[in-house]
Amino acid sequence: MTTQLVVVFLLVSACSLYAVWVLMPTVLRRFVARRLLRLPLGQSLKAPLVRAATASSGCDCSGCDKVVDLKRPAETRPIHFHTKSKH
Amino acid sequence: MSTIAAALPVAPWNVALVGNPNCGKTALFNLLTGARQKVANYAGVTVERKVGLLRLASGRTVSVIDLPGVYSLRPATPDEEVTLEVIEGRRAGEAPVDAIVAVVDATNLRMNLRLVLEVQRLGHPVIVALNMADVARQRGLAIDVVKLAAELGCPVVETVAVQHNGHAQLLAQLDRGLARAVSRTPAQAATREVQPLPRDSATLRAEVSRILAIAAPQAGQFQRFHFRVDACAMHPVWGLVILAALLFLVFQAVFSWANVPMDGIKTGMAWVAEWTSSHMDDGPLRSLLVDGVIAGVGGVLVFLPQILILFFFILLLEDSGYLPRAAFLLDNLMGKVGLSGRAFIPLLSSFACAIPGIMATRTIANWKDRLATIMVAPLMTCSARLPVYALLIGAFVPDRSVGIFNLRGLTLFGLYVAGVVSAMGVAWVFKRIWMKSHYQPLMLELPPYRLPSARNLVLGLWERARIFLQRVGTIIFALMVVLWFLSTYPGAPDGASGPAIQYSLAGMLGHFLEPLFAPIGFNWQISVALVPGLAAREVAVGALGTVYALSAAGDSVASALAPVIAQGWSLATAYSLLAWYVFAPQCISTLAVVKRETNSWRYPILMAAYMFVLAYVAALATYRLTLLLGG
Repeated sequence: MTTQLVVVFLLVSACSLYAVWVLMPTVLRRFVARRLLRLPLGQSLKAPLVRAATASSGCDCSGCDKVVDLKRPAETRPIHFHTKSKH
Repeated sequence: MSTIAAALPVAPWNVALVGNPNCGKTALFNLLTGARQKVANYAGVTVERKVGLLRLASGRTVSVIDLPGVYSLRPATPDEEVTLEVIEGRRAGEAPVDAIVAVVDATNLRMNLRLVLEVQRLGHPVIVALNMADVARQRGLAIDVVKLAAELGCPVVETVAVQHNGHAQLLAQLDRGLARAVSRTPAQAATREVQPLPRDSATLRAEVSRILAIAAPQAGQFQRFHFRVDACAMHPVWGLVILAALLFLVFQAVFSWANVPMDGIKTGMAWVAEWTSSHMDDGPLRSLLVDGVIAGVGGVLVFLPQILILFFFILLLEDSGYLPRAAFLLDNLMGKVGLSGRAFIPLLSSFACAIPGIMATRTIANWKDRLATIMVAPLMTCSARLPVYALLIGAFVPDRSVGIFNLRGLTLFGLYVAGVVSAMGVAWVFKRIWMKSHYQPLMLELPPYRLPSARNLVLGLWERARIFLQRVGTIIFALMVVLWFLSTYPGAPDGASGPAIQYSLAGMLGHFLEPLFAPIGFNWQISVALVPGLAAREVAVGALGTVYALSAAGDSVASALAPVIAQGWSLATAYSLLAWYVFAPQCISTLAVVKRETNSWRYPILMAAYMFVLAYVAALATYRLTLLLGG
């Protein structure tokens, strides 16, 4: 029974930490990761922390590191129709 | 990926893939880098830049940048702006590109070569990749690659991005030509000669015509489209009938084809639960494994076949080139509610998940149209809702035929339609009272029909299965363990008569929330399940599995959640929960993406609020109406 309790305690603690880490806002996760990187951690722990510290917000895509100025009013762009060439 | 590039001993060459939409840039990117970026047969799939690494035979590393498709170097939408920023070296924190691979659809040279001529004016070394060269050849279009290269003044290679080793010529050319082209000093590179773009597109057209007359004289007569097929598929009446029939077929298949594999997974889960119970001593770990992990995680896992069948059809339609035609068919409806016709593809992507759908709105130029599309995208039924729908339909809708259709399939179809109709209704309200703008006519390039690639299909399904299993194995597993803990501790006091879960933290939370949800027919168990459901909607099913497993006399309900709720809930409660999930406040990740895409917290807060109110009102109306009708 004691062994079961210890394993359950470890599993529940690890899962709670993981769920909190994954579900916390990216800004907060970045902040925590940067703080944790100051500690003397092993390489295996550092790699995911570096990723979290440099991650962009929103989703896990690798490409969007900047928000385009979306509120810029759309330009008026007239549509030109070109006649098909004879070739 | 840029972090990986920065960690390399020698800085890699930056090569950008530039081309018209739907010319095969991302397929080529996947082939070059081994990435698994989404590809489909319509314009606007890629809306942001992606980076991957490629190692050439010489050992040199190349950083390949996949960019959104553009028709010219005068951007009209946010995704096109990204492309121009990258190739002009204006993007903050991004190294300037060393060379450009101009990807060209060999079957549509007349349009694609205009962009090549514009790109050449930027002064970067350019290699032209003549993609889909095999299709052009099969259909009798002869292109003289040597003459084309001579006329363009840059290397031209043939590629087939959907074929293994279809990039061999491009790799050889990159190895051979890139070293020479990139060997210029930074000072030389900085002074590259940029020529202004011609103000008149007629100049470009004339130049393209001149080149084609020399290198591919038949290009003008080449037929890319199947006009007879389109006469039916895009007919204003028959086209809609075909679209409705296709969607019916999809939802019928989701229920009728998935039975055997779902039963297999259920039997497997029941066996694992039984084996665990019989081989472990009674105690907290056994309860965690049987009532938490197997009942919760297994309850979600069982819906994998249905999700894969749904995606099988979505991938088929995407690859065939039919989807943009459906966009044109529905443009009239979209226009009536005030949405841009371009909203169709983002809304369609939201059937998989609202996140890529919201990101795909970058192809919409008008800010108000884009915002309206973002606000309604989560109302489209994402695949995470499928387990909830399937569980409730399986438990409460009889498995019988209505004409040639299965009643369960029809119900599922109805729920998807409810999502679409509510999205249209909300968009109509938003566009009338808040985001007023003129109707933007749909201008979308129709792709030619293509036979879906088996490789794309298998890879796409594998990718969906991987994503689902990864979620099940990570966040869903973690949440189920936490929920089990909250549902188990503190234990029942001495002399307690009810199940222990009623006295647990989750039980207390459920009883605390119950008064809020009682008017819509939700009991305390459902109230508990709604909370982790905010992390990901399908978690609600797993949570119900865990909560009912712990509420039960002792045996596992991992494989039998549907009969348990069928006995315990009224029909009104089940319908009310279905109505709730049509509008259910979206998951946290969706809110985060809305915040990022709109650069403001105002919109995600507004979205969460209006969806909660809609869900509550819809569930209340459904519950009361069903009770009135004797449900």
